[in-house]
Amino acid sequence: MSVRVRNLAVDYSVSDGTAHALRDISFDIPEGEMLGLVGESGSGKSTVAFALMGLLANNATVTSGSAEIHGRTYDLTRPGATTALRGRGMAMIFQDPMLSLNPVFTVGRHLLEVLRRRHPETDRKSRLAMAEDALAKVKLGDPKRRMSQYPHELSGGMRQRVVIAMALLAEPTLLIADEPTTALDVTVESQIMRQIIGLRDRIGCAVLLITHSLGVVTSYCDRIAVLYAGERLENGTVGAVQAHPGHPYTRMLLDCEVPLERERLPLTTDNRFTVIAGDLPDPRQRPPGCIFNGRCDVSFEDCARIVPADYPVDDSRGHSARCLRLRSPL
Amino acid sequence: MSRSPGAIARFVASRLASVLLTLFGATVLLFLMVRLVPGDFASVMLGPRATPALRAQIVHEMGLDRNVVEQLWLFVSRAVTGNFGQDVISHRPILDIVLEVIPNTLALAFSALALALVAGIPLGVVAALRPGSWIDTILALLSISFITTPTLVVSIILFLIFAIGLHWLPVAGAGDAGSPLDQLRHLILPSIAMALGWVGYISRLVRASLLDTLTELHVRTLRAYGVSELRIVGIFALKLALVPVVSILGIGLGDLIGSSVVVEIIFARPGIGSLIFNSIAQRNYPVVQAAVIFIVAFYIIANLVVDLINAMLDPRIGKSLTARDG
Amino acid sequence: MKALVGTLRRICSERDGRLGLLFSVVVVLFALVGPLVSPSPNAIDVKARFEPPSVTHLFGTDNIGRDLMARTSAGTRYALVLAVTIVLISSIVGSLIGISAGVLGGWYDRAVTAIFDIINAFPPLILAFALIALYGTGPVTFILLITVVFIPQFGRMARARAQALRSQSFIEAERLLAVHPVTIALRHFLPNVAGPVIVLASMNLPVVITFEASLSFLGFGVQPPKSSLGTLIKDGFVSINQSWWPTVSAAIVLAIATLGATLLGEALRRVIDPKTTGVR
Repeated sequence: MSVRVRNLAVDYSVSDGTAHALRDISFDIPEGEMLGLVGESGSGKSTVAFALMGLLANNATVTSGSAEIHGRTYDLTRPGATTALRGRGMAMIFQDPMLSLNPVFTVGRHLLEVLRRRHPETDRKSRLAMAEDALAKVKLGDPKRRMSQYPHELSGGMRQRVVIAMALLAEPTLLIADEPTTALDVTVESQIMRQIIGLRDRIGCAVLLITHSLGVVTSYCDRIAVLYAGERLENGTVGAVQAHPGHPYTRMLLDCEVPLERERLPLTTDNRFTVIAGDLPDPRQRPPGCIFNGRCDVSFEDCARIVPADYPVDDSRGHSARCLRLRSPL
Repeated sequence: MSRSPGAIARFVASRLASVLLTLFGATVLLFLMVRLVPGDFASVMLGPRATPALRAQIVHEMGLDRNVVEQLWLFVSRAVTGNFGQDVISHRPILDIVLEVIPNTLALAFSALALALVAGIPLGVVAALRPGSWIDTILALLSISFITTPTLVVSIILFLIFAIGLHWLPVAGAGDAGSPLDQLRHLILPSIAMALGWVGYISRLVRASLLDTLTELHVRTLRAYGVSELRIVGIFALKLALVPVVSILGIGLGDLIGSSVVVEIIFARPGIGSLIFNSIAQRNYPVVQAAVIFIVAFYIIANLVVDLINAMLDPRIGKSLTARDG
Repeated sequence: MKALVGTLRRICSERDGRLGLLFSVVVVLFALVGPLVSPSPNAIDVKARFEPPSVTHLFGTDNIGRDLMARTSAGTRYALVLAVTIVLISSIVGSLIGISAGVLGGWYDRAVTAIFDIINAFPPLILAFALIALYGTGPVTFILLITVVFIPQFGRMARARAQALRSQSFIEAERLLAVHPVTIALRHFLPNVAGPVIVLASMNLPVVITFEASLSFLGFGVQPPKSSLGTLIKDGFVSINQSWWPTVSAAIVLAIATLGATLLGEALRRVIDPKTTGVR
């Protein structure tokens, strides 16, 4: 049973008006697959996650959108629409494992709290066993001891495994991983990603992986959605998009072939990475026409006037992109 | 593991050393304070009661015929063993006099502290649940009035209401020694008078600390896993938010013991405060010295206990404390 | 002057600040204006003992027929003068000791810190009480003794600030250039410590007012013929069974004074030193 998100739009009220963080975002994640939602910082990718979880900041409103999870459709514009799903149908792994656990409660207490919600019918003893089992599954050695440890006694990677264990215990239909490796050492990245994939295969959930790293998407994901300035520009299987990027932005991203965040560029003098010139458009005032027009290297007159629809690149593989160059000739 | 018994023992031992040093310093200061009063020391100590026989007794007892350093040594070494000499008025050991009244004051201070916590924490939680709401505004104004109204004023108002107006609760004494219920009834008004300021103080502190904590990311984690808002605020955020609250309880106890003088006088309760007051009025300085040493010791130990509780509440503190001396 | 106006404006921009200013101004005005609208505080009228509030005696009269409004006003004035003097002296002396300890370091610093620690080992009111009981109750003695109790607070804060400042590069540079330590202290340390000291002083004002009232209530503060809020409460309390009004009027003025001073102090803290927290 796949997860479907339709027409998600989110506004932030800021001091000088309304910022449109997301506009008309739709995507599907088939059961047991991982969708990589990729975009630079400020593209609104985390907003997608928090809109689904119902954990947006107070100044944010979902102006349209629905989500179909486990065969039921949730109206995301209704506050608390998915509250009942948290910890059951949905679980989340966060960006900063150093801060995502309560420092005065043990690892075990965090896991037990998830079980208390997920399996209220169980007794303490079986919950303890389940929690220890989960820690073992995410390859945290000596689970019994870990249970009584406090977050500050663990490294960042270990803490992220604890959160993955929490997600494992929640057995969600949809798992959202918001930049799960960004705050961690590069050497830990593959281990954590392997744990997330292991979790997905174990419970067969759909995974929404939010990242700025195209490399992570191409290595681990089945599908990719490219987000730019609050709009989804391209969508398809990783293989199809890699082979024939439908949108100039995706092509430029693939050309960069390195993570988008500048600080992760290696300090070599001969780096030949292209950098996409220009800045994100003002989120308060969407420019007319294509959102990427200002930075596009292949734009033409229509791009400044007409907002592109989602045109198929390769219908058979569900690959589409929002670029006027894909319009079928009339 | 940061909280092994050995680590805690080391932490206590190192703190105990500094505590003993401060206590020693306080004892010396107290000795000097009395010793430096201008005039003939024996007369100062005896005040209007000075007869030649008493003078000779006190000169001998306190070693006034020896030099100041020896006197200090005598004073400190006796204080350590609890030997504060004989009271020249009642001819009883001063230690007995002090120990007799201390339970009253401790009962008062701890019931006031308990009251402050029991009322202050929930009020703070309620205010933090809806920051900016009318209930938060009312609680804020209430808290600040509680904090700023001097204990003296609260005591007098309570005394007036219950002594002159209603007669529900007793306003004088500590109650019948044989009847715990009567003692409890006598405790109510004075402990409210002492606690009120701390109710406001603790509620403000809990509110601010809780609001801070609720912005932290681990709260979002629990929300994402469906933990109810009540459990998040009331258990997970509150425990973290109580760390700074516990830190000030040591100061709180000192403040409460300090205000016991005022409260015990107004409600005519026997206690260390009224003992000091009466002894000062009689210029019975040896008793004052002994009582103040007890208060200082209690104050210092209370602060030590508070540190320990905090180390247990927040394992990170325990770690840094043991790391410092290990 | 400009800074003062700016500070006042920012204090008035929030509810608590406005309230604090209002209460403080009302109390100060009451202290100043009282004698003009009321008879002399010491005029005895034995025929009018324990009179309830009326047009001639807004606050009523006491046990020997003295006008309570005039007495409370005079008592407020004296209490404020005492408290402000105590706070001024202890903040100045405390900062100087603290800065010198922080700048000089070494055994001097250790000795000062140890003395501060020892003084802080006493519950403040108990220490003040013991000191006054031992060394007398004249106004000057009273001020000096209470000052001793409050100096460590200012000293510790100033010392911490000075220490933080000492390691800053521009201070190091001046020291290398052999600028006289006193010059450095005056040029850098004093201005940097001034803000927090002013905040701490204003936060301590209501505490000192309460101290004075409590000690005077116990008979160890202000002595007759002078009267303060504390002595008025005490005098009223003695005859509380005949009339509760004398005690209550002074107690209410005391409560308003501490409320106003606290709110004002907190508003001042938010304006001058927004980083620091702390409720009292």
